[in-house]
Amino acid sequence: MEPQTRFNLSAAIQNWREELSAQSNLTAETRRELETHVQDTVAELQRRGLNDEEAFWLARRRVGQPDEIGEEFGKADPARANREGVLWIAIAFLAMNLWQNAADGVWLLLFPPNIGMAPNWSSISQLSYPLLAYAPVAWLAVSLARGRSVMRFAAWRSLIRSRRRVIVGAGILVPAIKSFELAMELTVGSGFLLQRGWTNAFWTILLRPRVLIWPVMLVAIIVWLLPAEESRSLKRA
Amino acid sequence: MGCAQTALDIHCCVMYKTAMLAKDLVAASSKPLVLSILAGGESYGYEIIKRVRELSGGEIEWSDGMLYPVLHRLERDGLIESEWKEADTGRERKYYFLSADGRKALKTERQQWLAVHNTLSKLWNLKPVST
Repeated sequence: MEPQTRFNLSAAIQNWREELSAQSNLTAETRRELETHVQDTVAELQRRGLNDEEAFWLARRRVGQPDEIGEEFGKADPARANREGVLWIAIAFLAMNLWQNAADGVWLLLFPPNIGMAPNWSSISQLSYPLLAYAPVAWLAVSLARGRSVMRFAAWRSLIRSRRRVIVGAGILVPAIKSFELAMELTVGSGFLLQRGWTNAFWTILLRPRVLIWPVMLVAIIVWLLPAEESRSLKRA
Repeated sequence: MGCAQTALDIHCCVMYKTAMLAKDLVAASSKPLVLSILAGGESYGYEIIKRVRELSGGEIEWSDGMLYPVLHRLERDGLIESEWKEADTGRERKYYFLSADGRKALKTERQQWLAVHNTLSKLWNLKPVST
C-alpha cells in the first residue's frame, strides 16, 4: 500500500491564490476578497464535519474556476480589460526601447569599430546585432502568444506593483540605460568624447530631451493606467 | 447610467447555478436582492449568498465567485460602498453597505418589480401587493 501524502490546507490555498494571480482582470484586493470567501466556506464546511481536503475541494468548486471568475470580472468591467491591454502594450514598448538601447551599447562594447577608419565589421558582428537586439523580443512574443510564459509574465506584475515603484524604477533605469548607450556611442562608437568620459555622457543625455521624450511618455502612460487601488490593497494583503 | 442599462450589464455577470429559476431571471434579480439585503445593514459576500439561499429556500443558488463582479459593479455605480474591517474571527473582511444613491435605486427597483409582480398577480388571480 502506497503511503498517502497529508493534505496541507495552507499550501492548497496558496496554490489557488497563485492561480488567481494569473488572472489579469482580478486586482489584489479582489483576490484577497475571494480568498476570504474561500476561507469562510472552508471553515463552515469543517464545522459540518468535512475534513480539510473535502472542505477545500468543495469551497473551491463553489467559488468557481479562476479563469471563469476572471472572465466574469472582465465582463463586469470591459474598460478595465482594455486598460490592462494598453498598460501591457506601453510596458512592452518601454521594455523594447530600453532593451534595444542596452543592446546597442553592449554590441558597440563587444564589437568596437576601428576609430578613424572606415567601418570594417566582420560578418559575425553584423549577425550578432539582430541576435542580441531582436531575437529576445521575438522569443518573448512567441512565448507569450503560446501561453508558455504566462505565469512568469504575471510574476512581473510585482515590478509594477505601485505607481511609486514604477516612477522610482524608471527614474533609475531609463537614464542609466540611455546614458550607457550614448556613452558607448560617443566613446567606443565614434571616439568623439573618448577623453571626456562617462560623466559627461550622462549629462549629455540629460541635455538631449529628444532621446528621453519617448520613454518618459511611456512611463507616464504606465503610471496613469496603473490602478490606484492596486497599491492600496497590496499593502493590506 | 440608466437602470435598464445597469440591469443589462449585471445580466452580463451571470451569477447563477440553478435549475430552479431561469438564469436570466436570477441575473436580473441580483441587483434588487443585493440592495435589499444591504438595506437591512452592512454585509459581506459570503453572508449575502447565504442570506439569499435561506430567503429563497434554496431556489436561488448563486455561484459564489460570480457574486463579486456584481458587487463591484454596484460599487462602481455608486450604489453601494465598502470597507475592510476585522471580523469576530480576527480575519479581515470586505463589508458592503448601501449608499444614499443605492437607497434611491432600491426604491426604483422595488416599484418596478412590484409593478411586474402585480401585473402577473392580476393575470393569475392572486392578491396584488401595495407599492
